[in-house]
Amino acid sequence: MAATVLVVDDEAIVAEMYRLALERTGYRVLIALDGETALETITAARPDFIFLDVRMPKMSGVEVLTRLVSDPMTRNIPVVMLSNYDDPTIVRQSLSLGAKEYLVKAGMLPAALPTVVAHWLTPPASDELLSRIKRRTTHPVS
Amino acid sequence: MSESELWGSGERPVVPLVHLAYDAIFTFVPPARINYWAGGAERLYGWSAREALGKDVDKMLNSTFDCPRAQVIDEVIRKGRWAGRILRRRKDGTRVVIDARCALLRDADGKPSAIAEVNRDVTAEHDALEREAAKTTLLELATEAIFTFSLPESEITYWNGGAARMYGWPSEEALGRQPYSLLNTEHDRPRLQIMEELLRSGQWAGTMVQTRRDGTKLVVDGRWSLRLDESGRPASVLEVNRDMTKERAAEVAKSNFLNLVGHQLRTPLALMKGYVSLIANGTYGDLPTGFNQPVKVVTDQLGELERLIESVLVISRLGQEDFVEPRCIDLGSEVEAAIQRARARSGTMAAIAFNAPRDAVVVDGDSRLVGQIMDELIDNALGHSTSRDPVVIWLTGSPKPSVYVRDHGVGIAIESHAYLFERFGRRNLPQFSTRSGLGLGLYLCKRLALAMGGDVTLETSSPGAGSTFRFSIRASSHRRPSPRPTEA
Repeated sequence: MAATVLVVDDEAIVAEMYRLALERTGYRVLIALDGETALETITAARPDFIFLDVRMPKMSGVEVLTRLVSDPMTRNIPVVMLSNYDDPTIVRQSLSLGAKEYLVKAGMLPAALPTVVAHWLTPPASDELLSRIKRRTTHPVS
Repeated sequence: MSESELWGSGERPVVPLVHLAYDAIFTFVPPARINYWAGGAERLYGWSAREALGKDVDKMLNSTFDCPRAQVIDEVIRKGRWAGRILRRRKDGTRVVIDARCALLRDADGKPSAIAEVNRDVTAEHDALEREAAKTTLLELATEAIFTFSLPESEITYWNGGAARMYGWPSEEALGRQPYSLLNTEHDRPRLQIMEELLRSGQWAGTMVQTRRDGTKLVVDGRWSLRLDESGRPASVLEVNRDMTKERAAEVAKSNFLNLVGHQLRTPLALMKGYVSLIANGTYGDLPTGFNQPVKVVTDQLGELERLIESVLVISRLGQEDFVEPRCIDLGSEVEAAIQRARARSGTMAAIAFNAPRDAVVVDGDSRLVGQIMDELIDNALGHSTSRDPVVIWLTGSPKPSVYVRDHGVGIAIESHAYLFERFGRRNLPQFSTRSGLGLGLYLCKRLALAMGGDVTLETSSPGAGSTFRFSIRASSHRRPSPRPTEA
């Protein structure tokens, strides 16, 4: 059975873009457009993996992450932050709370997301691949 | 009464000892006719007795008095003597400042016969006093706060007008106080550490937060210099502080604005990049043949836009406290990763040759920043190479860990070297005007390297012979790199 990925992003057009890329590789995709809806969806659908935006109405991604890691039922769901805001303080906070990675949307092509999911759902398999993807969270200067 | 009746015979005094005096001694009959000229006068002014006798002394020496000569003579006659300052010129035209004393001479009949003048050269003392006075005036005019405090008591011993204006404490209230408590000085490191550096190197420079008399805070850039006493012991500290409060606030506002703009631009960029990539990879169906080239152009330009936005974001973060997160890293691994990324970006196996020593070169650096520097240097080399020869990268561990990147491009004329690392420096490099980009890359490379205690320099370059850039960085005291944060 295909793994279920929840994409949490307040921009519907962005979430739709990621849905297309993930579904194309066989994942089942759920979308939540704000933090509160994300928590409800997680409780109801128990996704296998979560891409979590940071700046959102009602509840920020960091607040959502804090709730998830404090709940024994959800703390083991791999969460990767996916935001265009990579303020070092927020990055450190997210990683220390338990996010697997902090990725910058502008540096990630949608086609790379299935690779990220595959890595965290099968950790030992693709360390080298992951390290390549992680490098895309920062960018060469022009 | 005629001049000769008043001044008698005007005979020269016969006093051989005056020839031995260091001071210049001469006599004249008013208004200024020289009738005696001793050896000291010859030495001081350069005129021999033969040349001087009979001349008008004030014309010959181009004398300038504080008061008219006639007034001097009048005072000599009335009081028997006069003393004052005279500015004169020697025979060779050089300026001399004279302390002069004049005395009235009388003949055997008691009639005034001449005026004797004794001159002492005080040019050096006068000029030193003038310089001191000028310094004092300049110190008071300076907009910077300038003060000194004694050691080890740490009591303020001098407080200029700039300090009074900047801090609101007049000199009389500041003198004798301790600057730290008076200004509530806050450093970004322990004060003991700063004093140690001051004692070790004789100077210190850095930023401080201080408090004015009215309680408001100000950010100052300070420079300290240690003064030693005659036996070489620390005696006092000279401190010069410039108020940078407005400048820092403006910098922060500018950085915040750039940061906001950069982040806001990432959203449409991510969407454009994402959807174009979905179009290109066939998510919406096969791409008509004629669309491949335009889609590639759009993709490439979005890549350029991304690099520009990321440069703006890096600039906005330069100087932030947590901008650099140093760890022990393996420089060779970082370079290899950058080469892999460059090959991925170029879409083909870019021609890059890499040589590294067998042992790992472990450095203190921020992996993210090292990656950005290497990405730029490699892209720069690939972009400028005009032959099929590979870009050559080599790594050395000593004397300072360094990465060299050599291209086979058009090279850079020596007159353009000075502009290479300037922001938008490409405007001054006409040979590169056809290349895309704003010319921020090398500027950022250098700033990022400096932020880590390293540097990026142009090692060699000449037109037609390509260029070699060097990225140097601090060696680590550890032999092995530390694990990445996410691996810990």
